[in-house]
Amino acid sequence: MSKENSRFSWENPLATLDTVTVTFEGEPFEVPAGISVAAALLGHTDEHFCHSAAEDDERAPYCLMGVCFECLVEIDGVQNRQACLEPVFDGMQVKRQRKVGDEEQ
Amino acid sequence: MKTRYDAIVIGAGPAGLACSAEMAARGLEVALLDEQANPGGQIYRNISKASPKQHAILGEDYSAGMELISVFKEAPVEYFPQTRVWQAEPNGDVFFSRNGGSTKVSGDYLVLSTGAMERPVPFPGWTLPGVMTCGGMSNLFKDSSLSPIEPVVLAGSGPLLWLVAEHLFALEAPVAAILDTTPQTQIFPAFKHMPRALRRFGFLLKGVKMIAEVQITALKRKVPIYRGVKDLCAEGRDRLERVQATRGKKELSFEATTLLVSEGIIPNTSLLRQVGCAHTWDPVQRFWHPDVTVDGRTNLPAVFVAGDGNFVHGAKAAEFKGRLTALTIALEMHRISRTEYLELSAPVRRQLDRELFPRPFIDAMYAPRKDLYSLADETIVCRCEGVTAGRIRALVEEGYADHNEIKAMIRCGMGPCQGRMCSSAVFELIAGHSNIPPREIRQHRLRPPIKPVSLGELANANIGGPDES
Repeated sequence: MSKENSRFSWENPLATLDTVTVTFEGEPFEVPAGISVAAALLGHTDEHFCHSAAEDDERAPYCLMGVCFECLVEIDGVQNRQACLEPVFDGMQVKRQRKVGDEEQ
Repeated sequence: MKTRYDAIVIGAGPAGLACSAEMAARGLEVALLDEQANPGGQIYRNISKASPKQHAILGEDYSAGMELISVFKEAPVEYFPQTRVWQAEPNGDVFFSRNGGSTKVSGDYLVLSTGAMERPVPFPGWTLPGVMTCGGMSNLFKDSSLSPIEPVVLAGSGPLLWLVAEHLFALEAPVAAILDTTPQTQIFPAFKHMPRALRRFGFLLKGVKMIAEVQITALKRKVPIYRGVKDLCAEGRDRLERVQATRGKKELSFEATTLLVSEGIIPNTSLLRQVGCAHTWDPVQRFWHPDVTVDGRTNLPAVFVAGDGNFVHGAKAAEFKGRLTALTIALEMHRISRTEYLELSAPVRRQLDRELFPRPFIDAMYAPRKDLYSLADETIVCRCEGVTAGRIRALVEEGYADHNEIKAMIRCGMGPCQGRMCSSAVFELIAGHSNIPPREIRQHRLRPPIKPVSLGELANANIGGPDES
């Protein structure tokens, strides 16, 4: 399992769990099956998820229950997905939410 | 999924689960719509899939939800997880997004059991990655067994702060400090509610024991606990690096990569406001709550509200409120007789009453402190649009008198969260800087869609009705 510099770890060893492979910004990593995308990313890296709508500062999950909209990511090409409400599945491609006006080529 | 049900329940926490199962048991056709992937709401999040270790850490109050889930799973309720409701109407129409498409479904009755959320309280640095709520941390553990491995500070007031501290200690997480922001004098106004609270002595004792055990563990592990803490501040370049605060004249500073905050729980009224439920301001808890009778009725004949969404009373009370609401609707639909209703509802009412004995004490003990919203001008209030307290205060002083006007002027509350994170603070800034009594200040309006829906999805929505275009 590739793990960068996360502030969190999974309580159970991954070896004992069913896992799926999720790709974040092009880099694949293994996470326990059935967890939320937000938990998968937080357990993997302490990088931000998105930028605030008006300013350009980096944001990461705050409430983890669908209220704050600070965990917005792009999942398989669809933007504005709340990472705290989406369960992971194998082969899922997750990207940071692009900044407003930052059109993909 | 059918297009019409006897009743549509929105939210699969304790109230929604109990309500939908009870209505189904009385022969109603019931659909339960929920945002999450699994039933349980926030309190019993992921309970049907949690490991024995998760149950052991989260304790009996979490595991208590198993019975509710098993009754629900046996009941003939049509359950729709991962379903985002973005509009509801007083006539029982519900519009929602699911699997990338939008659909309309109608019910003779709606039960809104949207639960509660943590009270969002702005402070300097609260938008930094690494700052999150105590409930959020709890959800990460319930969902995913995630636990902090780098220094974490807990700050705030109320039972949730201590509960999450207890869990983090059990997980051997590196807790750097616990900062209790409850004013130390707050115990005195709470005392008058003690006699009633003592009727649930065991319940009170459990809370006292939990806090005492956290204190003992903190002492053993040399984790500092500070009381009467003020001026909380999160610092760091692109993410949290340090937590600062004051206690009396002492300045506190802790290196940490995670700060967990909790300043109490408020009803999550977004959908309730959108559908048009009347609300009342509670001056002690300082939140708006819908006007709801004990049997779940609102000002709208077809719309019922059950659970913490009507007033924050906790998970067990939410379950009882859900059942009472279900029995009321069953009576209205003539699925049970008046006599049956009285027989079935009496024991539930007694259980609910018993559950509520300690609440006035707890509510007074952890009431939001007076200076909770004494925000510095530069503190960001609206996270989405980056609007500061100073800009809002300036408009209030110019005479703008509600959040809707302020939103139109400076976009405060116009971002993706649609004011969910800023409306409590904006309201307090208006209350604090105008001469209008809080209960007369207009609430922040929510217009549909109350969840982001793409234009493509709206254009392709299967919402029935005449289509002459």
